[in-house]
Amino acid sequence: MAKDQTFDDLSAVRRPVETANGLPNAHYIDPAMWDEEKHAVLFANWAGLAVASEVPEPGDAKPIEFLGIPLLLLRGRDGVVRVFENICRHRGMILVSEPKKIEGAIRCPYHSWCYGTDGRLVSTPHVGGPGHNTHEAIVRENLGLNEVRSHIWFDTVFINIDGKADPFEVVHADLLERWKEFGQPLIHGGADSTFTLEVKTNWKLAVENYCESYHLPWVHPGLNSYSRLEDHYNITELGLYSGQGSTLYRQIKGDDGAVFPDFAGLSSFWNEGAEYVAVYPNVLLGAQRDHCFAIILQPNTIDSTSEHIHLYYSTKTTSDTLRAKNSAQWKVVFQEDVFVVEGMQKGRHAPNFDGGRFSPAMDSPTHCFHEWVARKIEAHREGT
Amino acid sequence: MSDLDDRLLAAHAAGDQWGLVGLYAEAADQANGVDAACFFLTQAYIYGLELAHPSVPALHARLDAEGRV
Repeated sequence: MAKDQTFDDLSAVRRPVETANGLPNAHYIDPAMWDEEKHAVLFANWAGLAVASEVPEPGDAKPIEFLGIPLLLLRGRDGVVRVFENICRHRGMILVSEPKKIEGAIRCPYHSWCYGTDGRLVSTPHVGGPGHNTHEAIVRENLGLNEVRSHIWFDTVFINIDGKADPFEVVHADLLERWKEFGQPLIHGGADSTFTLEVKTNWKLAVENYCESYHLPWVHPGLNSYSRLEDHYNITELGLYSGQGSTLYRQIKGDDGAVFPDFAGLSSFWNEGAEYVAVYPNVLLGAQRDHCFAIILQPNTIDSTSEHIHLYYSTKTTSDTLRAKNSAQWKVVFQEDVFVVEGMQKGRHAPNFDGGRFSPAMDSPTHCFHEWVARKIEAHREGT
Repeated sequence: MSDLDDRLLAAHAAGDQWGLVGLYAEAADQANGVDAACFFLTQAYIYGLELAHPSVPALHARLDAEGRV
């Protein structure tokens, strides 16, 4: 712990960027802080769980563990994507242990209670004795799967575990307005347009690195050759979100000069504009004229994170070759960041690190994120 | 029912859930008494329910007729 900060003191983090310190080491290495942040930051807000395209067809089910909670991402036969606790209401048995297509009902492998793809409890075999499938004490209407509050935007499935956050549209009204032109179908590029990076870092460091463009010329020299630092601007919406934008976005081209088709109806801003925003707490989004991406940060432990990357296009008929080239290009960029976020994680074990000082010119997006985390922790401690 | 028992055990061992639906329905037909029949019908119905087996509506109707759904 930094010598000038106490475990509970977040006042230095919430100062203006010119005088603020970053979050203390404890927020990256202390198990007690990990547990507190789990509730204050990840459970109490709209956290990213997955993308809806992971369950593309009715009946598709995917079990996902989120901070130790067994969840089930499920597209019902009605086409609606929902998130449930992946347990039977009878004995708490795990219902679905691997991704699968639910053809009829979800049958618990223990006593075979069955659930519809909308979560309703539809059958309770032998619950009243052999061959008797009802009992007055078992009211099926009250025993459907426990649904987790969820909201889908930008194909991303956001969940609010504690159920107390303001509605997603309220919390993110500003960003929804900012990116309203992308409120149109985003077509997932498929298997060649998704990959996962396993990173030995606390999830917050991945957010912090993504937010800012300061590191581009040093860490991404290739990217900086066509997306230069001086063409970037900070996106800093205190209490809401942060990131970076570019005023000189250049489309990826195939060997024949072909490009991906643009999203429909975009204003001229997006001709050369691109924006990259961290949707707090753990979703990183990119918006560009010809393709978008979503990165879901899955916090596994205090110092390990899975980064799930998904690329999107405007149509279903994009070039296989160009898609593969684009995926490879982004993978290089995101892999270039790995040593940075892992290095900063190791650095958090240095007892005299005080959270660091920010460049007021270049680090305001990172400070914005720290300030948001600090305010959420303080609100949690105050019980508000 | 020894032959049917053998076929049921074989279907369970093979994970042939589709076959279990028919075999348990067959067991229900051979059962002595309503409770025994409904036990087997339930087994058939539940395995079928998971698979969206075409026999499910008929199995449901038989159970419903005995007040067992």
